[in-house]
Amino acid sequence: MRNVRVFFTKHGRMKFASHLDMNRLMTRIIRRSGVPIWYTEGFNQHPYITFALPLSLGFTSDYEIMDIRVIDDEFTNEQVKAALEKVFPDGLVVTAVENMVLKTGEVAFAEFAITFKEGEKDFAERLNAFLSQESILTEKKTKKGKMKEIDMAPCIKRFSISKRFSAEEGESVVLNLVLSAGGENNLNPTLLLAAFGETPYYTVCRKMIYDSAMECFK
Amino acid sequence: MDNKEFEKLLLSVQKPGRYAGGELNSIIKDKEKVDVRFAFCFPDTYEIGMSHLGMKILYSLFNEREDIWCERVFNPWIDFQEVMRENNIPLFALESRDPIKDFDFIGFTLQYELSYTNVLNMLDLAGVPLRSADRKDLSPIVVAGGPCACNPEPMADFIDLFFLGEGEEVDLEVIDLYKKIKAEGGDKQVFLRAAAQIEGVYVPSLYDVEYYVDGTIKSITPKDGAPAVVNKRIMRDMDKSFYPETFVVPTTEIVHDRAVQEIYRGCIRGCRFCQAGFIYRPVREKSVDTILSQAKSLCDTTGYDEISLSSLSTSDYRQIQTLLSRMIEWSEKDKVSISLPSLRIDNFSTELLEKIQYIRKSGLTFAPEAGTQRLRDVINKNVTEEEILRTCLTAFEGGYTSVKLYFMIGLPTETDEDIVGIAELGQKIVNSFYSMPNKPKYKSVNVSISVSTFVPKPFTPFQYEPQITVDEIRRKHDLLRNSIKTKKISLSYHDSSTSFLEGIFSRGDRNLCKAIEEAYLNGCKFDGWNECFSLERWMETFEKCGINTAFYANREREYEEILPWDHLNYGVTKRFLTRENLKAHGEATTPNCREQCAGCGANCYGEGVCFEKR
Repeated sequence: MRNVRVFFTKHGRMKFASHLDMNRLMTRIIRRSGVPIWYTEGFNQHPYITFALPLSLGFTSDYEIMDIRVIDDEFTNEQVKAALEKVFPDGLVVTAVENMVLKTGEVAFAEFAITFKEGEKDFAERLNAFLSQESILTEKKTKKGKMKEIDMAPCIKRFSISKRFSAEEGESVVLNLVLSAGGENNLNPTLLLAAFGETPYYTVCRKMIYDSAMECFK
Repeated sequence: MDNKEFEKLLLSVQKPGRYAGGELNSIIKDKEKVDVRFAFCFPDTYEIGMSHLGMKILYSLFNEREDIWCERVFNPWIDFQEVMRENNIPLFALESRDPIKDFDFIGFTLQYELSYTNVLNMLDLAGVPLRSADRKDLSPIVVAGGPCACNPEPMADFIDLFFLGEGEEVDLEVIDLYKKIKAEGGDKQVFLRAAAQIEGVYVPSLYDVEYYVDGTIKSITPKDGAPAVVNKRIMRDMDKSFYPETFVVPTTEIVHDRAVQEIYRGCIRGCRFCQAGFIYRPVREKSVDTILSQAKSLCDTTGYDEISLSSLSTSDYRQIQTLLSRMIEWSEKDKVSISLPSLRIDNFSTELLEKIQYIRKSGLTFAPEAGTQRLRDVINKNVTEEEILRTCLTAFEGGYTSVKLYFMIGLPTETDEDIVGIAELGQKIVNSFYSMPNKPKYKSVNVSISVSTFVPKPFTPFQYEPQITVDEIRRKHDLLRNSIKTKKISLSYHDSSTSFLEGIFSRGDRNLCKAIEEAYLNGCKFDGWNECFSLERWMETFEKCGINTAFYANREREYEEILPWDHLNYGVTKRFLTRENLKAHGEATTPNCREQCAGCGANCYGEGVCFEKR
């Protein structure tokens, strides 16, 4: 028996699948795939699946991680990949299947590409000024349900802002943002941007997940 | 509207997964390569509609055909309806996101009366005129089927044609006719007249209804060659009848999120209040082999780890023991759990209990329906108090500590004694738990009593009966609540005013069409949802339209009266229903179909339980 890490992307209509939906969906996909997977013990047995870092509803992602436990050691990672490819629905694409290296608790950062539809002229500059502040305070609900003031600035590892023009979409501002992720200091880009105030409509794509050394999470 | 813009709007509402489409096994076709586009509409939310078996069967059946593309449509929740109107998005089908007003067929399944306003709501959102007479073109043709189609009159002005009975064959015959008429350049009237000649098709506009001054029906007269009596259709051989190999698997959570395997249609019992028990006659079973192979295929192709055996009374399947034994062999290995809804009290055996326990320990639910033996005889429930107590004891001895019991109030001939009898029966069940010498220590018992209001339905022996008034329903609720003396019994009941509305529609006639339209325009929709239902708004509407609600809900009908559905034939004869009504008032029971044929008329189909070897 070994832990196997499935890397996949999530786009299109699948962006409307919440984290709970993904759990349910993957359980069924894996059952259909025929991959010999470990089931939890207990009365209602179900396939053991964990996700490294839940993705907010509405976000797309180029780097999603799901861990499963394969019980048949002769069933290779290539076979797992082929079996999953057959049953993944539109919008989900398996990119790699590898043996697990890092524990999910070692997730430290996540990188996002946030695309804003054309805004006011100085939007990019104002955004830049906002993110460059030494401290960005906001209120966040703790797990106990109380409101607590936190400073988001230390959670911003790095960011860059660029302008893009395409014939299809017209002008847009793209914010590339690396934020603390996982565990205690997880910061959702939506929370950060809510503190900025009114923004043009934006879409979020998670580009990468890193460990504490900013190495790609494997 | 481009996808980006659309998805942006989706993200502004609750549960966008309802509208996203793209679920596992949903079917995408090239619209240029199909001849007929069918919008299968369920007039309620995604979560409810996606749980419905009939839709799954017809969706797969239609899409088997290369020339048809059938897509799913549900009624968007209020928040998204507002967004759609603000942004001029007409109601669309989930698969293609194309507006359904451009489809060839818009088909509704009418599962319950309280969804009628949602049908209008969906037509309106689609940008399609509500009334059949205002839709002049050949397409879209608006069709409807389902149990409520057995009295379609309150919807007669809106729907072009109704399918009576089971749709697997007749729906395709109508689609084929449409293709032919379209190719020939025929118009809607030509199509409807020709469709009326197909058995199982009812075109309401081809019937004139005349009334007496007191509002009862004087005559129903067909015209343009439509048949005087329209017969329902059934599938004669369930082993050869189409069943989907796979289901669309929703990504978001729905009400019944599991595979569903039908095991038979119809019911042998003949409980006098139960419409399903009469309109789906005769009983036709699937063989064990058919069930096993269909069930296995469903689980394999969907990835579901739970399968529910579906029928009106699971334990009446003749080979239930064999079926479960063989099913467990396979389900155990594949880690699939089996659930058995609709169990009867009288044939719930220890063996069956053992098998269920083996499968999944969920709650046990039984339906004695009435509190006293006298009333159970009136409704022909054919369950004795002894059986109820024995079954509950069996369950308690098997380790269960809670049972749920369903009852109805407002049944014909009901007295206060019968209401108090519900509480007394609950008390006896509680007592039987404590009478067990080996009862589990430190464990308490919970008997949960759920009470609904009896609504008289067409094609049942009680179709002549008055429904009790809302005040009377409330009085009986109070009486029952005050009769319960222990905390071991928990009581819940349905809202009395929705039952009242259901009672008006279930036996309504065409005069209600204008009220339903007016109510919708007045803001009524999602009437089955507490947060949307408004009795005041409905009462205002009825008053404005000059509708006497008591005439429909609380009036006793003479046996001779022409009922609004008398020109529709569901196999069971009116003579039989009248006979059963007389027996009910004489507190006499009727044996089930397997014990003795009661001569209901359903043997006219030449199949099923009427011809089983005994």
